[in-house]
Amino acid sequence: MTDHQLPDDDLPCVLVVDLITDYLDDALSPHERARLEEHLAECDDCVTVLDQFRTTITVTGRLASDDVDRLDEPTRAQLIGVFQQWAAGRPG
Amino acid sequence: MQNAPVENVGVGDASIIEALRRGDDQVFTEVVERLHPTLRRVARGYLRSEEAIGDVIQETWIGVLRGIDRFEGRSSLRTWVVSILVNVARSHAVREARMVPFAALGLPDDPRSGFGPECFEGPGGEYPGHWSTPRTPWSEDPVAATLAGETRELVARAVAELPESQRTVITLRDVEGWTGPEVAATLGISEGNQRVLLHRARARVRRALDQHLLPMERRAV
Repeated sequence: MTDHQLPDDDLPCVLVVDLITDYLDDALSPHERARLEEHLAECDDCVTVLDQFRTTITVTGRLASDDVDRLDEPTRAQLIGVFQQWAAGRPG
Repeated sequence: MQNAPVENVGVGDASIIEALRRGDDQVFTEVVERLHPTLRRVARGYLRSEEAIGDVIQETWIGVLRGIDRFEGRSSLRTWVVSILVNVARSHAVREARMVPFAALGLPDDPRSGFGPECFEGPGGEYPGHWSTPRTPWSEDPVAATLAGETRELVARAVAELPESQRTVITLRDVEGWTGPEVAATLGISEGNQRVLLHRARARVRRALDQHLLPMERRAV
């Protein structure tokens, strides 16, 4: 849990944007989380930015379906060769 | 024996490790297949050439096999394999003399969340620290547009241009879907530092999307 030493009065937006990843990771203390949610209830601009971070995460996740990183046949054969050579050299 | 499911490496780790120790090449192939995209994406954060990436992946598996009798299963198999890859990739990168220390969290003047001081009201403003101009929601839905090549290309490029440490963290967290504690353990950093790197990385990708998606006349940041 991170202690952010939040100011006593209303959170400024400049601080809120720094807390977005901590918020989404549920790494804020219950008090900090409540303060942040209080701010979000009042500030449409910060909600817009929070939504943009969420969308960014979703869009970045789509890179996982990139076919160029699948195991290709020559590499598969090469790595199996490494494994078989290693296995053959083991005692028992 | 029934092959252990490797859909989620971590669940059946103990039986997978046993099978590898016995020399079961079918299980080895399944594990390699499953982890290969992750290994390539992480390696690419350190090395540019396809040849170097191939070498690093092969060296990683050799390291895994050499160490497998000593692997105690305190971390998940995939955490262990990726931590070996990161070490191998870093030492290759050092030889190529293009390595920055992992601890570098970003330049001090790099705004952590991607918004410069001009985005907020100064101390003399009516609401210091609050937005100086309204934030504009994105004009199209980039999730729907992701499959359209342009947006996808843009995000891939934004990730590729990140400093290595940020790139590794966003790749494992947001592309591969790993948890924060798992990424921190793999990279040997604290969970807090892991989140700082992740936040900076997301902020840069968000900003790239923002510049791409905002209507021309509204591109302020």
